[in-house]
Amino acid sequence: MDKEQLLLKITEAFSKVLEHNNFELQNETTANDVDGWDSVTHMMIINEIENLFSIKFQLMDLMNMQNVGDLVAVLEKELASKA
Amino acid sequence: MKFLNSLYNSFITNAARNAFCIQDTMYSYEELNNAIESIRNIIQQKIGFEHQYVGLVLRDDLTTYASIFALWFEGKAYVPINPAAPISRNLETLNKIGARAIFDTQTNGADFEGIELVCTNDEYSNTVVSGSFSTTFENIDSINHAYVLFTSGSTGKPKGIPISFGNVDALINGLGTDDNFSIQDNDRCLQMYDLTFDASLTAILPAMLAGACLYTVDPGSIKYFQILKLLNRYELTVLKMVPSIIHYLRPYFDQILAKQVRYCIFGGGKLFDDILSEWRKCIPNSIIVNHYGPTESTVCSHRYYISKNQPKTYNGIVSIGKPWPKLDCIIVDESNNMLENGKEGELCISGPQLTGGYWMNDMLNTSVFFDCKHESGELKRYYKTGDLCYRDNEGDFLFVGRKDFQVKVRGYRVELAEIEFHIKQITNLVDVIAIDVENSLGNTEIGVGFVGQPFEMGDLLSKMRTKVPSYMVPTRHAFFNDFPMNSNGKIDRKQLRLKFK
Repeated sequence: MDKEQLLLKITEAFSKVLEHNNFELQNETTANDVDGWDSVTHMMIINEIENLFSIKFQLMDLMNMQNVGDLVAVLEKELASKA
Repeated sequence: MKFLNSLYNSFITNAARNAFCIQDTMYSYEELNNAIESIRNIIQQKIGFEHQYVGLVLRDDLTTYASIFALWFEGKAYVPINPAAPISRNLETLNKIGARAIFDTQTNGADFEGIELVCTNDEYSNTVVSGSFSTTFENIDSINHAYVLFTSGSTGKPKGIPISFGNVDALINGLGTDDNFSIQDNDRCLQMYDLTFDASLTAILPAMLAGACLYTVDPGSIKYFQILKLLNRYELTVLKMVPSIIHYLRPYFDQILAKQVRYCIFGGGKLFDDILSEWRKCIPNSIIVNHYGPTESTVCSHRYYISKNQPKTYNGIVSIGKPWPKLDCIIVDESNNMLENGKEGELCISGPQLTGGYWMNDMLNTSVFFDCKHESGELKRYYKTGDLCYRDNEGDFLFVGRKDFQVKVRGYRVELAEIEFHIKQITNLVDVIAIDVENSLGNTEIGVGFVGQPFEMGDLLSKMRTKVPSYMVPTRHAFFNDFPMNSNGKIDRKQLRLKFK
């Protein structure tokens, strides 16, 4: 799966939890840029992504995530270790 | 005031020890003392003897913490100001109180229309510490207020709860009646609470009285991750938290192991038995305690030690245990008649921690405080908590639910009626209902239901953000042709809640 496809699927998870698609996810996007993405919905989005890709994130990676780019990088790592 | 003497002495005795770790910087008790002195100096110069109340903008820095103690040592009360809350709300509370000034550690703070803003950071204050400072506090009158907190009010206006020095002293005494709980000077304690939330005091005060170090959580961060970072990096030994924190972390419990934790205290929300038994594996050597108490009776009144095997529960909610010895708690029916053990009714609290009453709100004071004859024959003043509970035959209290429409979001008390009030004002709609909904993590969110044609929520939500703190802005919404009704012709909140799932 290439980066663009990953982003599309992640966007799907975001819209499902946030109940809108009023945003565009890029590497630099942070919680400040997306309506409703806060500490409450963050964990729900993370859980949704785990379910979509059938993976489980490492807590250490989650704690150091700053933006969507970090999220994609960690996701790629998990997918690679699964393959 | 005895607790002020104890605090002062602890700060002096422990001068060389660390008092705070704030954003990875350590501050000693000596540095805290110096900050307190320079702020006492500002208070003596700027705040007259006749003024009792000072607004305090709460920031995650040493000076903000020092300001609380400086105000107390000078016999003044702080009124916490959340810098992220809408200015209109902050102004309303400060004007209501008649605050003399506002202390902030940053100069880029908001404009508080006529109330003097004092920047407390040394570099701005430009004052040489010159005052003379009393080192004992017997002269401070126990009925003077130590702080005034504002919580959500059902009429649309926040209600003020003044807490006196005597109230705080009684709280410290109550906490001290527990032989099993003793923080040491080498403990590393979590301070995750916003200072607008009174549960912060039961994190801060016992630690500081013991000369221990407090590790604060940056309010701008994702709290549950920040807590884990602190737990790992600094090997914290005492955790006081709202239960919702472990709800977030639950999927990753298998990656958490903190053997050094000695005490884990929950406060500020319902604690569920099932998640607790999983969490226990993450902190295998810890004593786990559940705290309970309304702001009106000074932070905390009950405690329950949660044993490994079969803690007492009702509907999965862990017992709140027993009140401290000096508090008297009863369960009453609708007409304030005392009920026997096992009978469900409203929990009422009496004793030295009880607030003198809501700030200038006679109507509310008459309805929630009442006098009742105690078994001893003494007439006592009780506060009706609005919490439905029963007491078992061993004297432990179990929480059953709320009597009214007050809910807890992220530990904060929220009156659903206040949310409805603001939405109705903004939209001019009549059929609006706010309701608490449980999300997939088991935490409470606020949903709002409307009768009528669906509309875009963006405008309403941004207006709400200018009226109420962020935890009161609804995060779910739904539109109905009609609200579901039950057989009594009332809105069926259970049915309604299902529409938000």
